[in-house]
Amino acid sequence: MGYSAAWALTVHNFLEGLRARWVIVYTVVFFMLAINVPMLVLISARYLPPDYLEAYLAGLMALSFPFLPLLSLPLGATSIVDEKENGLLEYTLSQPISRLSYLIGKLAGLFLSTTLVVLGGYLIAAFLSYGAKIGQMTTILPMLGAATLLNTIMLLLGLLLSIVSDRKITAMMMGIFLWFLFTVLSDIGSLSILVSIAGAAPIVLVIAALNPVEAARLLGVYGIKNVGFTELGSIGLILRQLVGEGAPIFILSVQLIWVGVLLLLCINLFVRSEIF
Amino acid sequence: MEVLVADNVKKNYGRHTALDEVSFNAKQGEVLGILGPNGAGKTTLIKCCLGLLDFDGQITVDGIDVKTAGAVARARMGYVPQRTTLHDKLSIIDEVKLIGRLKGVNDNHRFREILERLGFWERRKSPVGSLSQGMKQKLMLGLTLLTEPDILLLDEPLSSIDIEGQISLLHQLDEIKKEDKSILISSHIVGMGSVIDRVLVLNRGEVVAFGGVEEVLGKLHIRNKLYIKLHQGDAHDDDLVNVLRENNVYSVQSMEGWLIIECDSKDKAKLIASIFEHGIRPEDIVSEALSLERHYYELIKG
Repeated sequence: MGYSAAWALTVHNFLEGLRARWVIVYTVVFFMLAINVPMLVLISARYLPPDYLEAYLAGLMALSFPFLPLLSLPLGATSIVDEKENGLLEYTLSQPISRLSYLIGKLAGLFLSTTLVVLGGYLIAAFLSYGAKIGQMTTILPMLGAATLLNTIMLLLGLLLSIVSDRKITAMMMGIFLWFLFTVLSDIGSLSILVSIAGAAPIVLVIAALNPVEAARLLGVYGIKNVGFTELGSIGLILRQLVGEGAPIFILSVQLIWVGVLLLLCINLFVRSEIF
Repeated sequence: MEVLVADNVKKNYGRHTALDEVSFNAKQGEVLGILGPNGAGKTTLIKCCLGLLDFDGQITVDGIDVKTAGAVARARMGYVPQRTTLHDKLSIIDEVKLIGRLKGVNDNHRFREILERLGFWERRKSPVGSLSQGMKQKLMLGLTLLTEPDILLLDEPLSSIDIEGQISLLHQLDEIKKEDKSILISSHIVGMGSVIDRVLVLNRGEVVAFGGVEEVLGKLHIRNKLYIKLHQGDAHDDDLVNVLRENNVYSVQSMEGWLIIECDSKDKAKLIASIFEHGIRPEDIVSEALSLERHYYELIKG
């Protein structure tokens, strides 16, 4: 019974996720971002070199990854608390399902719908607009993997906010603040200062680990062959200097730890805490 | 047979005691009313029964502990919350399918059967959000029946629906009761007196009274009354009083030509027959049944 209930909730949340107004708007904007109209003009005019795809992907990640959290973070942040506010959570949990089944159904459904939007946006852009071949998938895969990981982390972070919040507006505001923190504050403020201070470079390891958006971008960039120092950015360069060839493994481990810790926190808080 | 047993249930919200050693049981085929004013602990008690809240003490449904096997116990229960919240964007049929699957039912014939029984089949593709509060409540009540539960828990079912909805609900409850299911209804307004078999009265988290309606009211010295008006010269009051005493009445009072007799409801017919057997022909007889509504305030004060 537990399995079928979790599956029923997964399907329901997947479809609800795709139907959400925010997801529809985001999909259109994200797709426009992914196809990058100026680049299309350059391609059609044959101004780009044959290996433009790798250089383009690095640019695309720098451009689109900061906006990826804007899909899953608000969607996750409002999901449970919204049902808490309107009484649906109480009604759903009064059915013969466990809280864990509910959470798995919610997480899996939202994960599938947001991942579909993200991967769909990149893949459609790659195949339709840039005429990418199946053989070039190895070039695109690291970006897709990094995007999926980032999406998962942001979704879990959003769900965590949703679990601990009593009001939808509070969860939403905290989600937007975190997005601002990851994409703006940590980038232009502390990081540039730290990099410029001699001896402070190792702290970059911690800063990179604490910012999943920047870490995801680096993970994607490390996966591209012949990547230039401008694509790596100052943090990527310092990381490569500090960790050497192990930099991608370090970043991947950090991202997986984010997923693991957030998942455990979500389960622990949701299953054990007094919700009503 | 006891379907639900609560033993010394205690629930605190911080320093506030919402339930204080509440014990009761619900028997198969009976309607148990949980009465009390706002803040008495009725909703908290229902949520504890469903295993939605942590609490001290024990609650079992068909012998299954709701704390250790909540999902299994909930499979034996159906719940209609105070707020009639469903997925407003889903169609009625999709809502039934979703809740059915959460209950472990994935049978299209059963879904159709329930919708036809509720009268929703023709409009099954309409969004749930287009239904009135009363209709939503009717749908939620129908959804509880998807799995043939042993006990239904209804939290303040009359509070948000109009008179027509209330009458329809009472009719539905009567039908469900005939299927030998237990029904547990909480209410701060009474209104359910006609369907309630036993009553649990709560006030500030404590049990004020528990038992059959007549028994509970009897403890407060509130009893059934029989009013008898005699023809002038038909019989002396003293003769009649002697007849009544033979029939275990609680008290007899005389007022403006009427005799007011307090007795058990089961004895009323025998009492009237006995009066006629003694050759007394009353001008009028009025029987007043016990009423939870009338004695609500005396009840909650204990």
